[in-house]
Amino acid sequence: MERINNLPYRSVALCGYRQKGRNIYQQLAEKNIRIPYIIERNYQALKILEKDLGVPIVGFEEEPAFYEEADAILLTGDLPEAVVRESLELAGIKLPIVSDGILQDLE
Amino acid sequence: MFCDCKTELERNEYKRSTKLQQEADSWLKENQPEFYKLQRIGSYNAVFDAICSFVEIPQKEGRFLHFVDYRYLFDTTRGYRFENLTPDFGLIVNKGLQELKYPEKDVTNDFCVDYNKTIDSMMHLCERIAASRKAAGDAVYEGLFLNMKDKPARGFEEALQRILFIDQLFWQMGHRLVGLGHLDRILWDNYHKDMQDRKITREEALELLCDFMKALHQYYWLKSNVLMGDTGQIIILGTKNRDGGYYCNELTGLFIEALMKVQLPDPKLLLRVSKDMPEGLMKLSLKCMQTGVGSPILSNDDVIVPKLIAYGVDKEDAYYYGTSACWEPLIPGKSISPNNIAYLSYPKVLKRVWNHEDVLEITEFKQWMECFYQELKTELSELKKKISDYRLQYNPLLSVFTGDCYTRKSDVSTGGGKYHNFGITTVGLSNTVNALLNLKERVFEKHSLSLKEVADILQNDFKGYDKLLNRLKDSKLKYGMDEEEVISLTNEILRVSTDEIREYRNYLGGGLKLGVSAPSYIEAARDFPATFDGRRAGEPFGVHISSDCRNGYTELINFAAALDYGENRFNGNVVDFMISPHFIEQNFDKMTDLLMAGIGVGFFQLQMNVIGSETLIKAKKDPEKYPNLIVRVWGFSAYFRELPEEYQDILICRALENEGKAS
Repeated sequence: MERINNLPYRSVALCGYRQKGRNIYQQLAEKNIRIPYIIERNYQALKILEKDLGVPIVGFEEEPAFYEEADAILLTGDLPEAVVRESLELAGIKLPIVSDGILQDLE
Repeated sequence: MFCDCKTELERNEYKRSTKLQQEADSWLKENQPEFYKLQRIGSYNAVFDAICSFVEIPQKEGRFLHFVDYRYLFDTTRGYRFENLTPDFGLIVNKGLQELKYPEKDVTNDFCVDYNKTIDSMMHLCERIAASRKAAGDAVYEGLFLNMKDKPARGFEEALQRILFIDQLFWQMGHRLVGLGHLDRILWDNYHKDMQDRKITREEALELLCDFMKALHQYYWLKSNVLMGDTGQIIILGTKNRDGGYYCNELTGLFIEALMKVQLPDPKLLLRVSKDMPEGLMKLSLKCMQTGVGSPILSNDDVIVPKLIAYGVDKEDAYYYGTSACWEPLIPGKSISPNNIAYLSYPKVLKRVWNHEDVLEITEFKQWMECFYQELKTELSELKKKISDYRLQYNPLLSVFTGDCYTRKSDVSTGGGKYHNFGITTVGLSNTVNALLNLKERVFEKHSLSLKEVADILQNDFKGYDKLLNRLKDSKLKYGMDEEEVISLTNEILRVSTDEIREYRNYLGGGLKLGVSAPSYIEAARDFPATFDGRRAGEPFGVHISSDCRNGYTELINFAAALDYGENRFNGNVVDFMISPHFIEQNFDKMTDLLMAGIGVGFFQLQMNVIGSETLIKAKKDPEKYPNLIVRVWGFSAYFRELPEEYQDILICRALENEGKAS
């Protein structure tokens, strides 16, 4: 929670929405940090949650401009970090990436 | 390719260490950068289509073509992997791929689009294979793959090849433990027609089945899961009919004969049995088991079908049940029910009781059991929490072979299947029941030991208490005995377990079921302290429904039949026999009678290892001399030489116990 308090962003996209992602989502919502979208490798299966969350769940295939809606991408730790970082890079997503390690640096 | 391991076992270790995946990634980066990128960021369909376009088509090595190109295995970080499921292979036998598609007017959502695209990709791969066969001058298989695009199979061989083709796609797409379903039924029409038209003889059909099994056995190392042999390739044979009769056909026996002939540990067979089945089929099965291949496992329709119906499975589906990789019942092509997503360790519940700060103040067994049940509920509650984030992977391929997805226009991951009941297994029930019975007698009835003394003895791993340890092992009441006290205690533990999971609903609305068989009897016991059944720290837990006392086979069957498999307790309940080949040889007819009578008495499922301790000991000492020795391990068969030592040891130990030679 402390780490999320120190986040220097007002709008953060989550990358990974499984057990850890769900917890972080709730924490961010409580802190009124905006979540414009969620990136998930299994996005096609999780699309059914969009209605309840009110947040689009997408893969890595959107137009680059779509991703710009967030100030940063927060890696939730649900997916292997190296794989996800590489995917973000390959998808041409240029936003700052905040992972567990970087969150610790922010404190 | 890039895997230069010499043995199948080394290859499997290489795969499990993820080196295969790493090397495949490096290879793709260098040689197929576009595919590599797609794999990381593309949609399911984009990747599936690329896989169908890029996989290398090998030359035929045997009669059939069955291949997995492990450079292009589907990325497994997309969601929980699919495992322990059985697609409906009947669809591809009875229809061409084109016929499985939605007509354009019915494509009304994204899923329908992806579903049709998946089939298009499969058709593209068919064309590629057909072209490859044409280039090899093989007009028969060229035609066969082209025919798969839009027509039903035209004969027995073609039907077998179709199953192999679809099956390989599941392995290519990262599925694990892919079941094969009711192949004697699925293949019957094609077999029967070929026989009527005199296109094949019975002997030729047998040869085809042998080749089919050999093809499935390819990539044994890649298909094997936790242990070599654990591939989940299970073929279901025979069924009780809704009208009370029993269905089997020539193929039922032919599959068993084929396995006897090829003598492979994999694929394996499950024979659904009923009191109405022909005795000849049971004799053939016993003969097959006698060869040591560990198959078929017997699954008692007279018990299982009513339980499934009572749980809410439609009657028609219940009569068509199959099983997951080992024994957990499911409905092929309808159940999207991962049946083994976690396990409950009953000895862990006992450990929780021992950890209570006021445990030593317990004065009555009833109090102890109240505490035990409370901890059982807590343990199950934690387990439910642990599995709460289980979400299936988007999977149009499986959706194509899961009938209800088509009508519901929904993917398997979003509720397209008909049944979504997840399953857990349980381990160490026998150790727990025995420990409880010992506590009752020695602490609470005879007062020969205090709880403090027992706690100390367990903590010190029976050091200095060898005599007690042996007495505990030889107690007069033990799990597996046909004794009211043992049975009622076991059933009560099972019922309390049920109570705690009855209301559970997963994200697809399905329930949770449990069974008393589990693969984890070694893994869960490895770092587990001593238990009061006379088990030292680290020793394995009991195997399924078995007994380490020398009570007879009849008693164990009676015990198993008296257990209550009602409500959600039907997730695999296997009686596990160790029998020496010599014993079966001398008592073949009696064993047949025992098994037939056992069906009537009501065992749930039954499997047997037909092997003697002497052979196992020799094979352990000199594996080179026994390269093809097959044994039954939890719910599959494997080569003895490829098993980790602890699995070899437990088999030797059980064989010695069975022969009355245990020290």
